[in-house]
Amino acid sequence: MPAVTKIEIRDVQHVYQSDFSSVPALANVNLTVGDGEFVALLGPSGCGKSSLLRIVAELLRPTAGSVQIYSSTNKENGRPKTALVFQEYALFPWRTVLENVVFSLEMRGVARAERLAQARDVLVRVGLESFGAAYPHQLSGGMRQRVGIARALAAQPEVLLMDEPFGALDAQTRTVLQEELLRVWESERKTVLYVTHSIDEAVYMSDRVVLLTARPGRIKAEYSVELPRPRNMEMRGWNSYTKMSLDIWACLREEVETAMSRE
Amino acid sequence: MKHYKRPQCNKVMPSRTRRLFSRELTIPVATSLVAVAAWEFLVHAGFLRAAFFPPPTNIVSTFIGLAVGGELWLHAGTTLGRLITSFLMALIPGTALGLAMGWWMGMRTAADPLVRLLFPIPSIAFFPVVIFYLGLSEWGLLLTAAITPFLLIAVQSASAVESLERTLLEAGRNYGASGLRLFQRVILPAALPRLFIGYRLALGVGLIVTVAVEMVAAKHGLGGFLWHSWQILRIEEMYVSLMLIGFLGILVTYGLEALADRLMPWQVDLLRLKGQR
Repeated sequence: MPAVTKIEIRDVQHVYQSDFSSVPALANVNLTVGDGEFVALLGPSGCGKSSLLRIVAELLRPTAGSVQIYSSTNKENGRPKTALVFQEYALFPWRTVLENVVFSLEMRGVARAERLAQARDVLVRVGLESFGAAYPHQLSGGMRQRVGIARALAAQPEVLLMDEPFGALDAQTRTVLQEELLRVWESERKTVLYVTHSIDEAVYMSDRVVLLTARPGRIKAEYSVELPRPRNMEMRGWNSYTKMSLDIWACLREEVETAMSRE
Repeated sequence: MKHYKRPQCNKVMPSRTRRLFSRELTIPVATSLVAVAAWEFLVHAGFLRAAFFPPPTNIVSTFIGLAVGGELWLHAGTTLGRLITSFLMALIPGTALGLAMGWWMGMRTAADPLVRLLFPIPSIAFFPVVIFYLGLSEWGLLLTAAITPFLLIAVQSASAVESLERTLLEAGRNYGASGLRLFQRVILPAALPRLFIGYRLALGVGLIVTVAVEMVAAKHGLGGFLWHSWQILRIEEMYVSLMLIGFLGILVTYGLEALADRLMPWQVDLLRLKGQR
């Protein structure tokens, strides 16, 4: 694990409270993520992984505990702590692709010419340079999520948060976008917290797989992925890859069954 | 900079004006002409009494006479002015109240019973109450015409906010929008398509109430003109005002749609893709 700590999640608990019931979503989660580390959060559905991500994104206030994100520089540089990529894309339908990507820079008050130049650079990086003037609904799901990723990259966050970003896509598109994301990630090695329910995706993408239990989620196990970088498709055939996936499944299965029995 | 310009959706499909002359319109125009011709024939053949159903040709010549005299345009203009004024009187506070009801639970709880109670009351029924305070004035007329549209817009605006996609708000917040800017840059544009549903309904209701109040209490305006022609049994003039009220309705609806297209260029294309236009 890298020496510099980027995210520190301490004793985070979360309970969804309504007038009629209280549902514990997270029970005492402790996690430290190093600078430049790609961490996958894996768990059965409803285990609170998305809630944890929203707590890190400061969209949800935890019932107890705290999250600290350490800035790369001591100076105040205006960079946001997090940028979240949503499973449902959550692009602004009234904004063109370029206007979506430029959004965070606009909110931060970056000068118009400057922010457009930056946004266009990011569009080039995700291969969308000729779609800047299109509206989101004119694009396919895969293209939309490229925009979602571009919007997050343009924000230049300390930490990139991804909530099952490719969960709504078909298997082939998903594979292509996984590769593209890794390629883009290699160029700046940003810290990533990546929520997924796919073991394969978790192993393929990340440096470390963190396994959560069924609700209320707590950390059950952690696996260090020793595959070299840059990753490529061939590694999916390696023995170490298969063994790790099977190990994780052996551990996860019980949690999935617990989660299923509650439905 | 060029790259940043909004795309011209018009290139994909013909514009609103050009579609006016498409087949979608030639068929309804043809059916109307057939209906009018049938009317004309039935009167001349003696099946309809000309005293109650004057032949369309007579109505048209009366219309031309009134149009040349200019009186008719005064009435039509008055009604149009009243409709637009009362619509704005409903739209601005109605949208504000509705957005507040949708956003703050407390506001919803406080305002909902009152809105529910007043909503089913026909707007015209408020007229006596209003003249009690404002007298038989222009403002009394406008206020009466604005009440139901106001409630309608409030109800629809509240539901527009309630049905906002949660992830869009999360994206707005996560990408640095808060407070007033979250409202301007995320909540308002996200709610706009649904706000316009309320505006369309309110405009239709607004015309009904405006004409009704004019019939009861105004010398000018198409409603007043209609009532006056009936009282002095100028049946052709009555029909002319009826027709003009219908055309006025089409005109304002068309204007609102054009405004909606201008404010929401992404929706124009989206609805066409879905085949709803």
